[in-house]
Amino acid sequence: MRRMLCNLIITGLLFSLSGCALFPSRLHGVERLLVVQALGLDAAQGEVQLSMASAADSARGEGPVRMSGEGSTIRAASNDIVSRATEEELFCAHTGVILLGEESAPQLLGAALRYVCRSREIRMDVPLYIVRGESAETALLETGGERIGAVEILEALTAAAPSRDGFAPPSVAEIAGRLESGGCALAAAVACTPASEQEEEGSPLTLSPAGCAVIQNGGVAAFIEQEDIPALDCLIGAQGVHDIVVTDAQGQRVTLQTAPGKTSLRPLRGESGSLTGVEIAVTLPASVAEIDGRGALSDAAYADALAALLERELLSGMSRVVQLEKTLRADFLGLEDRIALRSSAAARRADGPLTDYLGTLGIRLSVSVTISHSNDVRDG
Amino acid sequence: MQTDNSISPNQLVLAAFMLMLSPALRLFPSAAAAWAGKGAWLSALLAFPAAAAYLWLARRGALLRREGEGLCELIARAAPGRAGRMALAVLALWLCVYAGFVLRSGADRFLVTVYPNTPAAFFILTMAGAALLAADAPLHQAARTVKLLFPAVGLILALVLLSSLGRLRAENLLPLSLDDAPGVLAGTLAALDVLLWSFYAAAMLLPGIRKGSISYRRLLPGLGAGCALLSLMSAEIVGSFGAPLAAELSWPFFSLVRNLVFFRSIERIEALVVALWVFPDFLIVSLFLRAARRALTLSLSARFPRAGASRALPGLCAAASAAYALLSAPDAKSLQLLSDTVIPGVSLFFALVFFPLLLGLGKRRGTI
Repeated sequence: MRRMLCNLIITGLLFSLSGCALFPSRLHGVERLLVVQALGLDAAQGEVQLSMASAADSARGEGPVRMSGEGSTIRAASNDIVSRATEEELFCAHTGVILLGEESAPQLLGAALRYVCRSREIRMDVPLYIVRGESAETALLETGGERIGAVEILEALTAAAPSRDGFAPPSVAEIAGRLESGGCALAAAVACTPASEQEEEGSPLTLSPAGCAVIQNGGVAAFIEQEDIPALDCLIGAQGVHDIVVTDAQGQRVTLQTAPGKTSLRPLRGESGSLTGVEIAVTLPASVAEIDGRGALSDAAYADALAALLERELLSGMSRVVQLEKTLRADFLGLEDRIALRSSAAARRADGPLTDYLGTLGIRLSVSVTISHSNDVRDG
Repeated sequence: MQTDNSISPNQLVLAAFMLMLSPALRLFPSAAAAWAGKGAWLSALLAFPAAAAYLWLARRGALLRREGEGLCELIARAAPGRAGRMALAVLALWLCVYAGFVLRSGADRFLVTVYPNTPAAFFILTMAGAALLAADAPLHQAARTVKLLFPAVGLILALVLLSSLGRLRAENLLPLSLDDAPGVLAGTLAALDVLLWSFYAAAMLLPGIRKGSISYRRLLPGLGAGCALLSLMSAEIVGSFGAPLAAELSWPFFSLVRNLVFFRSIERIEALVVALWVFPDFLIVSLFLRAARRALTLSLSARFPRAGASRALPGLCAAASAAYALLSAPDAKSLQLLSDTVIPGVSLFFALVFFPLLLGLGKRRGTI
């Protein structure tokens, strides 16, 4: 009994020992803190432009908070924001996403990664997005509207990504880790697009997925387009659900939905044991989601033809992604690690760094799709 | 339930485990990742045979003591005369320095992870004061405190390690081949440093342990658990961040904790975990201050027979440790140097050279 009592007291005391990031933060209420949920970073004429946003408070009827500041460093820029805010300090512990303007990546990417890795407040597993063709400031301050802001849009994009793209947007820790070990990494990209189809002057902007940025040599080396994300997913692990539109022999547009499948990688070796190529084989189940006419899935030949169309579509995307990997000599697909996992120690020793011969490495791709069923009632 | 004031073998094992937690987080994850890369997790497992052999020898050494004696008394008997007194003075100095380093490192942990912009002196002086009070308390109370605190520390540790399993990436940990052996063996040194250090830190409890009550078979599972913990911890850190990034982070374990989310709602528990690590630090500092005082008393006893009774001696040791903590590492770089190189190096010297040499000398002369 006495021991249990002691344990209870100890556990209770622990909570009093733990702080909420800063001494002053514990002494005044949350209303005196400028809560940050999204951070944006841009470089402007040698200065750091820091933007921040937090979500709307619907209970109080308050809209999203959006602010920006400038300074010679990230810290100085954050102080600039505080000096103009009514709150006493920035509270970054709930930062859920970080944006980096495409143009600013060469100047700020390294600094941003180091800042987060050494930060006492910001988690290292927050996703980092590259804002394509725009500044992070535009993405944070000019998207959304009076009732919702960039934070809500980005939260929705991030939450939907694993099922949509097959992988979660790479986090700061993942990007920093990949850059440290492999010299290149993938980062999810977003673009500022008009919220409605009519692109009128002054129409509200929103954020939409814009593929993936390949980070190399401290900057954005290239982008993988959003339409190639299913192919990228197939090359990495085939875990996403993708809608891919193909046109059948009758000219009807058929939306095929892929389900999580399997990707296997096999190193191909010559007689001497040297690495001559890699075979990546993808097996995917798929279903018909929608046909703008009448399908005939009961006809095996029709189902096979649809599967072939989907395979061709995915293969062409995978070829583009692989070609990009070879052109950039950047192993953003992680082939080296995956080859190493399937090779003997002697073979690994003989292989050497993959980037030395990535440009000439033969990569054989194959996709096998099985159309399982149709969700279009007319197909029954 | 134990009614006398002796320390049981189980309490000794728990204390050694608790004492290991401080250097286990400070030194091992980064050092093993830097040296062993992907094979950091293997380093801790490979350290087991060597650590088990050392433990066997250490237990044999402990059998040489008389009832109620500790490491300091054993050294005093092993090397009587001026050499022994010098050795005890050196040991007292080292214990004060190590306690000071633990004070500084504990303050740094708070500053880096939870309380920035707070003077390090606040944490150093508070801990030194608390440890000074505890150093004067009966020895068995330290062991009982460990028994009380262990469930809280163990529960949090298990929770953190289990929750982080999902973040492991196989390619960050495998494959390994013979080419990795030199790095993995270098990482083993870091693991050995942590393990051997915890042995001789726990040996400060020897005066409270009945002679002959410690069986080697009861100690081995504790050692195995220590190696498994180090291995799991480094596997999760390197598996989550990759070895190059893990080697660069100041406190990779707390970075790992910072990323944890429970049930999609509870997060940011690193402050709680950092607060828990106060206990291993407190235990180390209080035990080392007590041992430093004893070593100093024995060292001075020939010239100043009443030194042991002096009320100033414990305060002097605590003040020396606090002064070292305040002055030794004014910036992060010098603290890193102390943490990665100086302290582990000297610590290994004491474990592998200083104690075995003195006890071997005493055995040869027949004084112990």
